[in-house]
Amino acid sequence: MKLLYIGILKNEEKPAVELCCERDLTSYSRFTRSSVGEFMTLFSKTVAERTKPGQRQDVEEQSYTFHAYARSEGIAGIIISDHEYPALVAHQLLSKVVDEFLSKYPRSAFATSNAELPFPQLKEYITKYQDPAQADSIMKIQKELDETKIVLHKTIESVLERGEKIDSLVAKSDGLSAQSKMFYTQAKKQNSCCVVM
Amino acid sequence: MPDVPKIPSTSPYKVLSDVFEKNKDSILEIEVLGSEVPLPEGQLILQDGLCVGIPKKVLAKAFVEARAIFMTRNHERVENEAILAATKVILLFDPEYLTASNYRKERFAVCAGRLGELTERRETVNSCRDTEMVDQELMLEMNFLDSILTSPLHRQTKSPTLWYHRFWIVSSTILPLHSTTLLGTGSRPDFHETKKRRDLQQMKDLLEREMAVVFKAAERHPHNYYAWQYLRRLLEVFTDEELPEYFATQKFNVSLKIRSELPIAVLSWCLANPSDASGWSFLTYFVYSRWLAPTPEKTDEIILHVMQFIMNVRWMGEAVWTFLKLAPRQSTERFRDAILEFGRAVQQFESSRHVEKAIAWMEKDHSDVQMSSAAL
Repeated sequence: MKLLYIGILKNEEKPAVELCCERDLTSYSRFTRSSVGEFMTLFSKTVAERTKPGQRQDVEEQSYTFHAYARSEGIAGIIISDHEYPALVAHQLLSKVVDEFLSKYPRSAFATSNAELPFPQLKEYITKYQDPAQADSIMKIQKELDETKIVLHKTIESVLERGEKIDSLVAKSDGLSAQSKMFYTQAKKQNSCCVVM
Repeated sequence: MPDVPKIPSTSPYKVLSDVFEKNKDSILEIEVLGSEVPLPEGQLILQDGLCVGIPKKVLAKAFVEARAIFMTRNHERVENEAILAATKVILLFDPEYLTASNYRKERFAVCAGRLGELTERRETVNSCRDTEMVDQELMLEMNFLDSILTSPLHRQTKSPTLWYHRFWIVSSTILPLHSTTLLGTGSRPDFHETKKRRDLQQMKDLLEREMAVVFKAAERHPHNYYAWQYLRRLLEVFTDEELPEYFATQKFNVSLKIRSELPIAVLSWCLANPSDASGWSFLTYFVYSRWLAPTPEKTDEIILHVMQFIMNVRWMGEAVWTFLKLAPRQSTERFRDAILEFGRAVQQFESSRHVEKAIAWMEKDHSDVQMSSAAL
């Protein structure tokens, strides 16, 4: 089970802005890595924009789960994991990361600016919490998370507005290279296990 | 008999076989690219150090050329470099191409046959000629296999043909070559001591390497039955006292290493991939194995780690709970009760049919065991 991305995004307005993030793309092969990285950013923004203050949600898309937690200060924490990584642990980690970010950077630091805000702890956390058992220490200091409050969506499309389509989001995105856009179209054809090429 | 076809230098086959040839001392990371990945003008593949990206169409064309070369082989046991090179590309595209993999075995067959005879007679294996040259060839063969079995190639990492090929190479050639059996008469004692030490170290290194390859392949392709099955068979050769090959291994020290380090390594892998039934299945096999099984106290420890994992992340998946229901038969008696209590406690606050089934099974098993001890 893997953590692939932890990021904090400013989400009061569209488009959302990545204030800081850390990725772990080591499980992706050399020549597809960059496309995956770009998609992580695009979909993190998409999910962050559609997470209201105080809300928690999990959005599944292909082999990933996007865990989101938005705060009234105007930011959202996003963690991308595989489906195996326990959602509860991801949200506990989100609480921790968002609290620490806001202690370091009050709203004034990002309300009127889109500049990146360095947050080096993310690098340590994405490595340390690959093992979800490490989150035991977080669970001891935080108050109980109410699991039932986390809304689950089975696709990104279900958080989009009526009429909005993922394919057009992908096609219009500035943050994606042409290669990545084609990669997305190809990836949609599901490969079943052990089928001849 | 047809001649080997002439291959132009810009052909997909030539490009690929050159990559294999130039990097034969290393392990490559090979990826098959979809059509969306652009290649620079005039380039057929992408390469960055040991990472190689091959477009699907290029690989298919290379295979067709390689097969044409392969078809020109004669049926005498004469080694032909060009044919051997072709088999690498064939197996990369189609790992189930049995005749290509058998062709690759041929060059070790004579040595393997001789080693087999010596092992049967419990004789020293020092007398296999040119052992260093064979060693070198074997290392190159393993590098080639690693390059396919540990790369991000979804189908190839689970190839029964390639895993069997690996088993054949290791069990019929590498293991006997580095075994230290009864010492032959008339050889210098200090030479044998040195060889014994070196061989023992090579066995330990081999075991570590094989475990690492299996773990990697199992990650690349989840539920990788063939990778885990390979490890089961390999361990049996290392430890099963009744197999003739067993005699060929420096059994005592290597077995100790297996017993103490292997379960921890496998457990860590399983906890990082808790949905993978094949990994848990292997751990169960290990705990039940006649030759490998850790002590009941050690099994208790393993089960305790699993219980802690379940508590920490509230894991209710089937694979983990199947292990938890099967393992207690190999644990100490008092711990068996503790496991059942644990299961019942979990059932109180988490409803899951996997947990329910596991408890029901454990309860029935528990009462069966009690009934049979009462009957004794």
